[in-house]
Amino acid sequence: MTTQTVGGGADAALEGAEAIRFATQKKYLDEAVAEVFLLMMGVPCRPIAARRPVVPGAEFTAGVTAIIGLAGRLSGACVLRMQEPVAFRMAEFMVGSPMTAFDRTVKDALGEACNMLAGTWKGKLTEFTATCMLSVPAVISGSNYEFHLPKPAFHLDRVYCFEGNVFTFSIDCAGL
Amino acid sequence: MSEIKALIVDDSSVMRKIVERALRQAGIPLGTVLEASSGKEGLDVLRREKVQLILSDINMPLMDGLEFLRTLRREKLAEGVPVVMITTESSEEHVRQAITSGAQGYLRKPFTADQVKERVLPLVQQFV
Repeated sequence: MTTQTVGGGADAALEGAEAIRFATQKKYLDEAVAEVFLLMMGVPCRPIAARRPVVPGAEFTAGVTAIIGLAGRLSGACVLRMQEPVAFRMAEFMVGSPMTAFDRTVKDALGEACNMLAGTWKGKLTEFTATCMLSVPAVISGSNYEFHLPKPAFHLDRVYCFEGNVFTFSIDCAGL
Repeated sequence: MSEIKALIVDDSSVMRKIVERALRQAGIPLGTVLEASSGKEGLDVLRREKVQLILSDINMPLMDGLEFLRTLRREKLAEGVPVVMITTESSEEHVRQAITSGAQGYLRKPFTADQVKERVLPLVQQFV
């Protein structure tokens, strides 16, 4: 029988369904997002119960996406999606000056935001912190794409809001 | 304490700005801040400039922060200069790797100016 210690290191490795249940608890993702936004951007950010407004190819034509790969025991990707104006606002809060074009600074800021969100979330899952690595981030502009993963073990998808700006952060992992 | 020259190594220009801002908000007396976007570029800077503080990301393309640090120590560049690693990785193993590779400190992103003050200022005061 396996035992589970949350937040302080596991006494024994979680496996299968138990590992997925542990990893997919929304509170870890919500806490990670709140922490990154408050500490790095100085603004509160909370989950909202809304229909996803930023599905690529849907109502918005100017979407942007930042992706970080996960490798190791957690294998998949963390995906940050939003409209372009939201990307500008996010970058403004990080850099401290207004953004008016989807330039290198905005792309860099998005990539870094995705990096911190993914890393902070992973850090809360003490079971996986040391056994899972992050890739460098990639940023995609445009909405006309679909994201595919072979046999995802779990999909965690949340909508968040900071200062009236909405974005989604998703985690897709293949196999545990 | 007189002003110091610092080197910030990170492939993200946004992160380099954030780190500099946090250092100043923490009360570290920064004079010149040099920047490098990779471990290799950081080594090039240190071969021609003397600094009193180095902060480096770990997860960078081409040459990661740990390899940068190991090369630094191997080539005896910036001897005695405190090096602080800044990264999203927070496991004990990652911290151990950073310290074993020669870092004096470790900051996990996201960080506050207070955390920078607590972890970086004493190192600078000791060195200067």
